[in-house]
Amino acid sequence: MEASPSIKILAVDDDSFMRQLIARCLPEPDFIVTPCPNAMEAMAIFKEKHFDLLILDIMMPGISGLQLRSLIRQENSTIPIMLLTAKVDDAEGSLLKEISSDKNTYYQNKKFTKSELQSLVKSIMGRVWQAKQEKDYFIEMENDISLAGEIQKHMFPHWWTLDGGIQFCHYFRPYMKITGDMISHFKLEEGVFLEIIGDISGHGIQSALTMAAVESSISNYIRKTLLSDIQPHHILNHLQAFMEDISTEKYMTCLVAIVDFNVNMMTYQLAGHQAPIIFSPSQNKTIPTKDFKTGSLPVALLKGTVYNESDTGTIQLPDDAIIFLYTDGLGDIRDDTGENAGEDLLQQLISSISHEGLRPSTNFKIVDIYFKAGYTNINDDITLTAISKHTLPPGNYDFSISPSVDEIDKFVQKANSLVFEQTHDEILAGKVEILFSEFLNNIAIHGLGQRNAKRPIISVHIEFHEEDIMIVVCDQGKAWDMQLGETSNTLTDNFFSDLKNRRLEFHGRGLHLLKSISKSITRSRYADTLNETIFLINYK
Amino acid sequence: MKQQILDYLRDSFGLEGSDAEELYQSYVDTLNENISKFDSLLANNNFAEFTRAAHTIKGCAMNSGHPEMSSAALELEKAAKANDKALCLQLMEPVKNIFKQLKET
Repeated sequence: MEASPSIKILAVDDDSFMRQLIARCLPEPDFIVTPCPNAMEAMAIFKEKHFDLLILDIMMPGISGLQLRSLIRQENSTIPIMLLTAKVDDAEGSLLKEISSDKNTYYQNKKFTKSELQSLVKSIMGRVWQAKQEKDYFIEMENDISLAGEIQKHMFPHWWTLDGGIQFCHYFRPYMKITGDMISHFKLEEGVFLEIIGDISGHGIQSALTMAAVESSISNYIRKTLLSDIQPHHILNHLQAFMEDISTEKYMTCLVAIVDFNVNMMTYQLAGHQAPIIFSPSQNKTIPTKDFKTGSLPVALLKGTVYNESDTGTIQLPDDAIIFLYTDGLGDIRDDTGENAGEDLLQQLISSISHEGLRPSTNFKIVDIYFKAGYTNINDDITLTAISKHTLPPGNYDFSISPSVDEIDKFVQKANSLVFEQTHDEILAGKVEILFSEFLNNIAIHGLGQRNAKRPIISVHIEFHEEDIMIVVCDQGKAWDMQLGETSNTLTDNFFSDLKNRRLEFHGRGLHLLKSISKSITRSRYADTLNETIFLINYK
Repeated sequence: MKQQILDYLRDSFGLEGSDAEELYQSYVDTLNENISKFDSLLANNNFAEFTRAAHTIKGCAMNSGHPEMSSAALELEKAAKANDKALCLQLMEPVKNIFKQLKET
């Protein structure tokens, strides 16, 4: 068994008898006492060496024990200090108040025995060590939770993905670093997708672990089940049995939907979950909530719940339908008065923001408006996912790019070819190539910190207009200020001067290039997560 | 008187033999150092330092199992705190006498 470490004590008393007495009462090896005759010497020693505890005489010539305590506190706010005095026995109330004004100060009567002094020192240190252990444990837990949150991000769908003509946009924000919300996309066959969104009761590690187990269980189920047998009520019954088996006492609101984009049909069942919001940009309306079947109880709320096919609903989708699935975290965000955002706000925002169709930034813009409207007190995990066909008008192109040098290089060449193909302008194609090369590499290096993740996390949209090209780049990198100012069609003399004088050596050089190529550059950040940069480039 | 103190040091602090003798000597030195200041401090009306000296004697005496000295020093400390020169002069004597008795044992 490891021996306890010696308790290192600085004992300050102007009386040599008391210094000797303290040292003899607190002998090695359990204690290592450094005696000191006055406050000045004590401060000098304190700054150089580590001590676990200080014993100070209150009444000393020059700087008193209480004054020395104040000086010590400027260096260390928590080290335990034992004040020795006979004065408290004289019933001086103000002194008692002063002693107890510091929560890490202890008092010992100057008349003591060896066992009394040792007992008090050990008791103080016991409390200190326990508090440190608890703090260290808490820090370790926090680190573990942070790591779990990072790992969890990889379990979720990407914030924007394209899959065979269908696009998925996903926003999530955990309430406590890790989320108990769940979202799963499965491609069952071409154009047919299984969507499952769930909200596991409670918060924190338990809910997140339950979420992970449920996700895994769903994957296993899908793998083992014939396509024809994958139906919403079967999946819910599987989840009910699974959650009863793992006995976490958690329950889960859930929506299971099979979306067939080939025939624009959605088959779904709600288990205590919100109905989706289905919006059609061309018709500028959402399918009313009353048109959805209510469904049944949350999964595992009641043991033995059975989900029936009779509770499964079917909805005909408009061809340009955007299907929004969400958990109640958004509606539960409160403003400073304590008022909830409510569910209606989401419907309104979807209608106003999605009128041109689903874009990579849509969900982030929606959440951003919540924050800007003052709904900033978050009380629950937030999940907002959207699915739609990915159809673009002629002259519009979308790309998703991994933030690696190779992938960026490949894309840059592709972009050059595309611009040339559309405009037959070699110089313009070259400018666009330079713009992308400079900007995307900046995102990869500075915004995303040179991550080599293979998952694509930069979205690029290119739109060819009559007189200009619009480029929209979205990324989830750090916020950074481009200091845009005015753009210019030519590189100014200042640029070359700065370049020559190496003032642009580490930053700023690329910005001049971007500004010289672009008619305008605008940059926005949504939900404190997504950067959106829009470049307009004139043909001539 | 000396034995009383040595017994106390043994019983309260587990000190025996040379350790106890060393601490006893340190006690005597502390008494000597502070008592020798009394006259000059009082002559200069330096009640703050006089109080401190009496306080120190009181504390050491308490921790040496010397109640006669600690009681006398306590009374002297109170008089000094009250800036009562006459009383200090009066109460200084018992302290000096007890010390003299200690030295003679």
